[in-house]
This record gives sequence, structure tokens and C-alpha cells, in this order.
Amino acid sequence: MWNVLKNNKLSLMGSLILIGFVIVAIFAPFIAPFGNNQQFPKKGDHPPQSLRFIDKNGNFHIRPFVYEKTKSFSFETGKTTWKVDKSQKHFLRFFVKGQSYKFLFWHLDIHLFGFGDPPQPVFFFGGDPIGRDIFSRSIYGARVSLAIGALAALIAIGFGATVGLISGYVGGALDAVVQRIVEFFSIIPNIPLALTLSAFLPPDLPPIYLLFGVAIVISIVTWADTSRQIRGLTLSLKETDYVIAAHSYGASEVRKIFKHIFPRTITLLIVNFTLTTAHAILAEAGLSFLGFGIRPPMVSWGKMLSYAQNLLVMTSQPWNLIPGFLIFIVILSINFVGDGLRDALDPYSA
Amino acid sequence: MFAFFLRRLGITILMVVLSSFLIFGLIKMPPGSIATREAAEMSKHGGGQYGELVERLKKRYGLNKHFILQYWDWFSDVLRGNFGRSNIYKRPVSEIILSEVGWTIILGILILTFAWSVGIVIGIYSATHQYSFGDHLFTTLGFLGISIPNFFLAMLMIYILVISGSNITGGLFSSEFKTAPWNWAKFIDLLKHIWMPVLAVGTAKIASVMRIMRNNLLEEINKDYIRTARAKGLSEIEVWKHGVRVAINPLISKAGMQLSRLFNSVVLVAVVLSVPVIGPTFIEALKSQDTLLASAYLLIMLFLVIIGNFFADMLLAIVDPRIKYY
Repeated sequence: MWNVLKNNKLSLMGSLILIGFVIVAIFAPFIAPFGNNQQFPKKGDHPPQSLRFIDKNGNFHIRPFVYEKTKSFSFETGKTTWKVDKSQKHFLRFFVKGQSYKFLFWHLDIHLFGFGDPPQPVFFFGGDPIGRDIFSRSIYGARVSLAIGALAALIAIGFGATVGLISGYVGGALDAVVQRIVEFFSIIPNIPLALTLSAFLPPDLPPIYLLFGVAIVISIVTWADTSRQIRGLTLSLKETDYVIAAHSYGASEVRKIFKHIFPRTITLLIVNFTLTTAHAILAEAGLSFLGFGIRPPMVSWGKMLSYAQNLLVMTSQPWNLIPGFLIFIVILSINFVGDGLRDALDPYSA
Repeated sequence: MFAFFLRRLGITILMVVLSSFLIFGLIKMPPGSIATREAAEMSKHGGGQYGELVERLKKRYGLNKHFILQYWDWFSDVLRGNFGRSNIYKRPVSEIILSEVGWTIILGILILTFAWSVGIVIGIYSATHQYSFGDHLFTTLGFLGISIPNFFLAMLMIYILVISGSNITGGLFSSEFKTAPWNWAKFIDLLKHIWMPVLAVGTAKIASVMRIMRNNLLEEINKDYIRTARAKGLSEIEVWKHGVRVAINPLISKAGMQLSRLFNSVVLVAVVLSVPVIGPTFIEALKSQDTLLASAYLLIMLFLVIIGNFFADMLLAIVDPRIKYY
């Protein structure tokens, strides 16, 4: 698989970006300077701060820093403005103490980086309306968005492949019935169905169950496509000489399915897995954006975007749109990888 | 052909019945029913004993009948256009849905015409100019187009419009035209608004149509009959026509699927741009657990998709004479 990706520049780039996102997602609490729900009450709608190397006197610092921004409210215009305060510099420091978190079995409070000593609230991507750091939340959001995407795709592919294999192999009345159901799931609009199903998730579900719940809901609306493709492939593989040969020397049905037919479907499954992950991430974003799917205290990119649904917030604090670009980048990368894989592994498909 | 038509019609009706049955099951899935909910409400206001009320209400709504009979009651009402009353709006569901369905169909047709015409033209260009600068450009744009979440695209469009000083932020009409009778000015106003949802949803559609068209045509262009056509000295345009006729068929057979996908985007984009199509009210119904209203929306969407599929099948049978009439 690596050889496949190596020869396609776009796929290679996509997979590297994805790997980066996955690493960030796994070590989210360590990499994010603040917690996902850590609030800085007076810093609501804080604009993004940029990293600088040269200060106002033209001196170069090898250690980058940010300038403090202070808020001022004008009673005449009724507007809040943020001014860069060039007298206060917060230097970048590594391995600083911050909010404690649990990673696997350890309770830690060391974060990869922070600014100033003692650590100051610094907003790379700006702050949301209630004073949380969008950068940190984006990192935590990557965790949830990617986890749900991959999990939903895994369930959808697993279930779809099983149904497709059995339905295609057994055929007859079972196949006819199953295919009608598959047809129903492939023609019913995914997002509306997922919205309806996720409205059934109990409101008091603990976060980790909710994550699984949303993943299952999304897999329910995405499994049909894979199932149909696998069924089609199984139908044609069933008639190939080597399967008939296996039959003639007395191979059992189970052996024929798992040893002879299933391995030939794996390339298609890999391709479908990547593309279904993209669909699932988009679906999760849509659901959470509309207020279904993920709920606080968890955060996902789609959920963060729902702040920007407010016209006033969107136009005066456009940095609330940043999570949308993250979704865009991830989906683009997945599509690059998926396309490259399809071209290389499955030369017969259009 | 007529037999084929009848058979497809039969399958279509079967799908309608089957899907309505599954949706009815979906409505019945959550614990509690309208009877327990209303009984709880009534007993809170001193309407009587809870258990007794539940029994009485169950009888009134026919909830103590067998599941199949309940389904039949509901479905026969639906066929007569009676979807029941909405809990949150206190109005008949059909009344709420009707105008939205009209706009949805109009918007859908606009989006599909826009996306297909642009997508097919670009696809043909890309395939006939493979590896040219234009092809690379469109392929890249296509990747971007299928990757951007369309509700996010809609948000970006609003942002850009607001920043550039426009006062159009969504909807289908400016406030002064909302209730005005139809005239030329209102139509112009509609055009000023409707391009936003069309573009927001259409971008991804163009990208996918373009990709399919390019791949299909590339496959056809290398076949023998194209070479023969060239050898006969036909002009390039004529040659492309040969290929395009064949390459377009898989697109039509996928039109049904496209229709279903259309709703995915339309629902989300409609919420962002507050367009009065199927979307905002559906979300509202789900949030306030108005099951009758929500299920009516689901059902209407399914009906539209199934009917669209039927027409796509018919169209394909007309366009592609190789289709076996089975």
C-alpha cells in the first residue's frame, strides 16, 4: 500500500497531512495549551494573535512571542475593540504546567507549549464567544471528529461487507429481500435519516456512549453503498473458475467465502473505508452543527461551527469559521488518499 | 417498452409502501407515545388519573390496535394527503409542508440543471483535453469542490457577501417582497437570492458530475468505434458527440442517487441560508420531537426521491436503446 501512495504525489501529501492530524488528535490534551472547556471569562471573542520574532524596536528574538491584546469598549459607538499592547510580550515556552488532564492512565498537567511565565491565555485561532481557546478546542475537536469518522466507517464497512458477502453468496429469496432493504437505505437521504435517528439518542448519555451512538447512527446511513458493491463483486467471484475448483474438491461454504472470496474484496473495502470515513466526518459535522450528534462537554469541528451560524458572530468574529477549514483540509486529504488508492488498487472501476 | 414502464411502476409503488412502513416503524420506535405524553400533560393540569387517561387516549388514537392496523390507518390517511396535526405549530402538517415542497422541487430542479449542464460541459472539455492546463485546473477545482462541506461553503458565501457590503444574507426574498404578490420586481428579487443555495449545493454536484463525465468519456474515447469515426474523416466535434452519447448514460442511471444526495446538502444549506425549503422546519420538528411532522418530511423526501428514480429509469430507457426491458 505504501508503494501505491509513494508514486502519487497528491496521495502522499494527503496521507502525511492525515497522519499529522491523527497524531495531534491522539495527543490532544498534551498538545493543546488549554482544556477544551477551559474558559477565560474576560476574553470572550478574543481575536487571533500572531506569532512574532521581531519586536517593536526591530530586535530579533530567537524565541518567538506574542503581544498581549487588551479590550476596550467605546460607549459612543457601542463597539468592543481589541488593541495590541506592545509593551507586554509573552514568550513561547515548552513543557509548561497548565490544566491537568488524564492521558491513558496518567494524570498529567504538562502541556507541549504555552506563552509567558506564568502561562497566559493566548489565542492562536482566537477565542469563541464565551472565552474558550479555539485552537485548543480545534485540537480536541479533531479527536472527536476523526474518531467518529473512522469508527462509523469501520462499522459501516464491516456490516456492509458481511451483508453483501452473505447476500451475494447465498442468493435466492434472501438476496431479494436483503437487496430491497439495501435499496431503501441507499435511496433514503442520509443526513435527514441520521438527524431523525440521532434525535432518539437519550439526552443524558455519557460522552463516550454518545460518541459510539453517533458513530452507529452514521454507519446506519452509510453502509448500504459498500454492501451493494460487495454483493456485486461476490456475485461475479462466485462464478470464477478458482471458486468452482474449490467447490469441486469439496471446500466447505465457510471456507469458500472466507478463504476464496473475501480476500478478493479487501482492496475494494480499503478504498470504500477511506471514502466512507470522509462521508462520516462530513455527516458528523453536519449533525453536530445542527445541534444533533455531539453535545457538550465534548467538542467537534461541526459543533464549533454552530457559533458562526449567528450572523453577528460570523461577521465580527470570523475566526469562528476556522474549524470549517479544518474539516475541508481533512476531507480533501482523505479524498486524495482514497482516489490514489482506487486508481492503484482497483483499476477496473471508473 | 410499455411492459417495462408498468414493471418499473410496480417496483416504485412497492418501494413507496415498503419505505413508508419502515418510516412508520421509526416513528413508533421511541418509548412513550402521543397518548402517554398528552396524558402526562392533562393529569398535570388536573385532568384526571394518569393511567385512566392513557387508556382513554390510546383508544382515541387507535394505539391499542395491532401494529399493522395502526400502520394502515396512518398510511391510508397519508395517501389522502392527511398527515395529522403538528404538535408545535398546531396546524395540519400538510399545510406546513405544501409550500416548502414546492420550493424544494423548484430549487432542486435549478440545482440539478445548473450542476449537470456545467459539470457535463467541463467533463467533456477535461476528457478531450486530457492533461492540458485546463484539465489539471478543473480536476483540482473538482477535488476542492467535493471536499468542502456545502453548509460551510454557504457560510463562507454569506461572510464574503456581508464583508463586501451586500445586504443579502439568505432567504429567498427581501423583506419587502416576502408577502407581495408576484410581479417582475419580485422575480428579480428572487433571482438575487436564489443563486446562493444553488451555488452552495451545486458546487459539489458540479465536481462530482464532472469527474464521472470525464472518466466515462475517457474510457469511450479510446474505443474502436471512435477510431473508426475519426478514420471516416468526421470532424472532432462529431467524434465527441459519438462518445458523449454513450458516456452520459451512467450519469443518468446515477441521477436517482444524486437526488437522494441532494437532500443531504439542501437540508443543511437551507438552515444556514434560511431558505424556506425542506430543512429548517424539519430540524425544528425533530428538536421538539414533533414526530408526525418530522416523519411527514422524511416520507415526502423519500417519495420525491423514489419518483425521481422512476423518471431517471424512464429517461435512461429512452436515451440508451441497449437497456434491456426487464
